[in-house]
Amino acid sequence: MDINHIQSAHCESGVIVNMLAYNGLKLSEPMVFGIGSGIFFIYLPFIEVNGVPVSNFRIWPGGIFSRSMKLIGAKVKTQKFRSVQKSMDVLDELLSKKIPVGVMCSVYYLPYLPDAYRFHFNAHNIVIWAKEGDEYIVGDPTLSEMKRIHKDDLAKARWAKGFPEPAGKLYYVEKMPEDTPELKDAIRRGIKRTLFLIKSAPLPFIGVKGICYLN
Amino acid sequence: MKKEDVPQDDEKIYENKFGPGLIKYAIDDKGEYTTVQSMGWEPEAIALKQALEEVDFKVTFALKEVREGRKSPIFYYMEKKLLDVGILAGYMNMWKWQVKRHFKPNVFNKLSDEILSKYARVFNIEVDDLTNFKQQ
Repeated sequence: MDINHIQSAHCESGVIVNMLAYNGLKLSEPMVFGIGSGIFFIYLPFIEVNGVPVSNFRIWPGGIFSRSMKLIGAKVKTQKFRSVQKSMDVLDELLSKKIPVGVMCSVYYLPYLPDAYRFHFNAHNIVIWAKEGDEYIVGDPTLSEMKRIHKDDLAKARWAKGFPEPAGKLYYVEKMPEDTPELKDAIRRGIKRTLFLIKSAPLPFIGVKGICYLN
Repeated sequence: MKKEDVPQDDEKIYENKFGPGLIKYAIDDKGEYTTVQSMGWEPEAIALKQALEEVDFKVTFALKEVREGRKSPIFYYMEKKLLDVGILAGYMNMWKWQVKRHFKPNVFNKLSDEILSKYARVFNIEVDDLTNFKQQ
């Protein structure tokens, strides 16, 4: 498999950039973020995490992936599991077909990160490129180089508890569009949807109203 | 921010694990956005250190509670492994109130070997570290 790891600033958009590039479509991270309507705003004063009210400026996890792939015209598949064994078997099977797989995981179980970064945060995304013996070759989009991770660590990371719960979630590109996608249309629809999401929510916590509310 | 103004603060807290650095977006000579690798940023490192100090504080407090017989070792290891009651209950497949009950030393002393070894697996320690809690 011809692997070309591309480093990016953020995990979900980075995974998409890597998957598309592997399938012959080279898009920049900001382009993927835009087409996928990544920007968003939400402020939830009544939900506290570690004693701080929640505010967030991106769309929900998985949203950039599903939206950008849809607009580009790629067919994708997302799977969650009930058993650890099944989730690893499906991953191995996809890798044996040379399909790079995105997985949702907790950063706590990723040994290649500095200790200070390893807390129980479950919404990280990485690309699994291949398996060699008991180790997986992993492209963490935020890092400059690919890493290796033992299968036990990966299983733990994919089955972390807390919120959100990955439950072994994996996703991959099943089929790319036959013709080179018409980006103009995808970009226009991405912008339109972003505006819709941040402007038209009826609740005061979301979008532009949320920003005003926080102020 | 201009490309050359992107902070390049190499801090111990990154343990040299980020190689040439993480990606940041900045403006090049032509005024267009581009990517730059950044070694790190001092304010971020300070914030991380503060978060770790808070963890240390909680762990020290938990240790005192266990030593003075007010809490069970489960409480100590929960803090030590950066967990909270909700996440720990998730791993144990229990309700939060059940886990909280196990913080009580007299309840803890009656726990079955099965439950103790499950806790030990979650904390990635030996059962002995729980039952013969001395303090590492």
